Amino acid sequence: MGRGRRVAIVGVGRTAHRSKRPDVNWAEMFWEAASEAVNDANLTFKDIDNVVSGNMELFEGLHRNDMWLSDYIGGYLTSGFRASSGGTTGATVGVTAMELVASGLSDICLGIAGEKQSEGDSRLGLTYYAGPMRAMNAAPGGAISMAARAAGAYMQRTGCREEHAAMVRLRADRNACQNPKAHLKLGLSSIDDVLASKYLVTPLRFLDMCPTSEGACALIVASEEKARKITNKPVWVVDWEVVHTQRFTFGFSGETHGLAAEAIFKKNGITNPRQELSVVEIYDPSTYMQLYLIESMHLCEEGEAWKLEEKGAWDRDSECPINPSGGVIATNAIGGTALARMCEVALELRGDCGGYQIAGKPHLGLSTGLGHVGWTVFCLMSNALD
Amino acid sequence: MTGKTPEKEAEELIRVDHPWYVEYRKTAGEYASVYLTHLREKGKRLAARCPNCQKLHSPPGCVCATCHTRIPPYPEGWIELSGKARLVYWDKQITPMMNIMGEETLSPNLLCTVVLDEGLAMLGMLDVLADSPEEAKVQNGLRLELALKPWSERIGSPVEDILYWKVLWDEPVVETKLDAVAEMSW
Repeated sequence: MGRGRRVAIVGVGRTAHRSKRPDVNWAEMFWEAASEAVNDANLTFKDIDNVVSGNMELFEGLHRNDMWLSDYIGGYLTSGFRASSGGTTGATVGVTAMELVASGLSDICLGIAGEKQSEGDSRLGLTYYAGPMRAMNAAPGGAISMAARAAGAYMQRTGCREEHAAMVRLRADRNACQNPKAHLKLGLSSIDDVLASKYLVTPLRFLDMCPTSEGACALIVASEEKARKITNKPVWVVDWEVVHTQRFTFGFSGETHGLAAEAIFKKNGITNPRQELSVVEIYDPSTYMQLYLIESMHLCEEGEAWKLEEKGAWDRDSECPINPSGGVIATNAIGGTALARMCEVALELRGDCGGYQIAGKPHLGLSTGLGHVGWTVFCLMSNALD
Repeated sequence: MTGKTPEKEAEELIRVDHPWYVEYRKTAGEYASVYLTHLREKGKRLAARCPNCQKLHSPPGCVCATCHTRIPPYPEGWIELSGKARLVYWDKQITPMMNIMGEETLSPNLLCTVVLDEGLAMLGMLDVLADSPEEAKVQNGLRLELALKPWSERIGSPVEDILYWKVLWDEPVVETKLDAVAEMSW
């Protein structure tokens, strides 16, 4: 990786996710995730020399969140940044922390992101974005209606049926049921359970969409020199790719995922990603979105993702497991969700996922982040340096 | 070129007003809930002492910012603040300004910085009106007592329940300085 010093993930922390956490305020919830990450790395808060935090400000009415948060995440008298980049906020937090360490500005950096969805109005925050002219064009139904139109377009383009989206949901639920930190653990028995759920905006059903969750996650990244002293299971950050553009409307196009995938695969000599990647955590706010993002990322040919779903090609015990954690469809504390994808890949590569650990010896993993207007952040990780 | 003044042209640019109404519902959390309930029911504020560095925090949080030690939940290490303080500094508002509730106000009372008997600094309002005959008697070191609304009117909010710092005119004045780095209470 030609980005400066080698960087490794040495600690991961996640809160349990629920619809509401009335037992903790926002900062206390973040403290839970930060504490878990610090304990996971066998460090103390005093070892952290930089903190990067993030949330979606309009959702909770909390901006400049670092002013409240710093006391709770080891930020007192420590350097820090705050990031807010829509749905990719969590990934931006993670990548910022990585860049700080890679550049030499930090040796051990905490990145933390999350959301308390019940405390504000996420729908309003999602509607008013990327300039007032775009906001005035936002359709009734907000993000869900845009995702629904993208789903319909995908079905029309490829022949995918509702049953295939239901298969994606069933797979996500089976994985989430094994993940103690996941939000929705529904125990679905078949795709009939999904197809029985009511429509939100056709063709999207209630169970085709992600929940609104409350939770936070954190990771600690360190320089190679520090990482080798901290842990015997470092997860090396191989590369990252950020595609932030205003041109695309959320959900309509996976083009930014395609651009990011092409760049990161080319730079790292990956020619057959489905074979070479041990695990992928995709930012999938809806079932159909996972399918067309799989195609956009060149994990299969266009129009093939739903056919491969029928064959179990994305299951936990397959060649290319997708979202063994349950993914965003099961858990979505929006500000932290993209960071959660990084955390889950890191845990899989460490072999620390317990009941939802993928089979074999995973060595190379990819996480993605997605936001409105198609913002995209990819992160490639490995448990080996070569 | 249009024959209009720049000001007139600027007025004619289209501007779309887009008012929002958003209801935010904040979770107090375990520590703040105890603090706010105690304020409402007992009319007293609480503070928690860090078991490691002994710093006092009011309102209490779950972790000490300075040494990152977990602060135990109520009642371990928690104290009830006396509500007594000394006046350090005061001033008066001349220009109306936005308050915390988003309203443009002009405080008729003098604004103050005080030091609690427990050592924490705090901002507030005196029960002395600006430009009143009493203003001339205000001096550093006055003895103060926190005044709250009566129990039946309290809702468990520092903003709503605390009225002002009442000056105890009959008590001796003791010169009081504030450390350059003082722990704040709010």
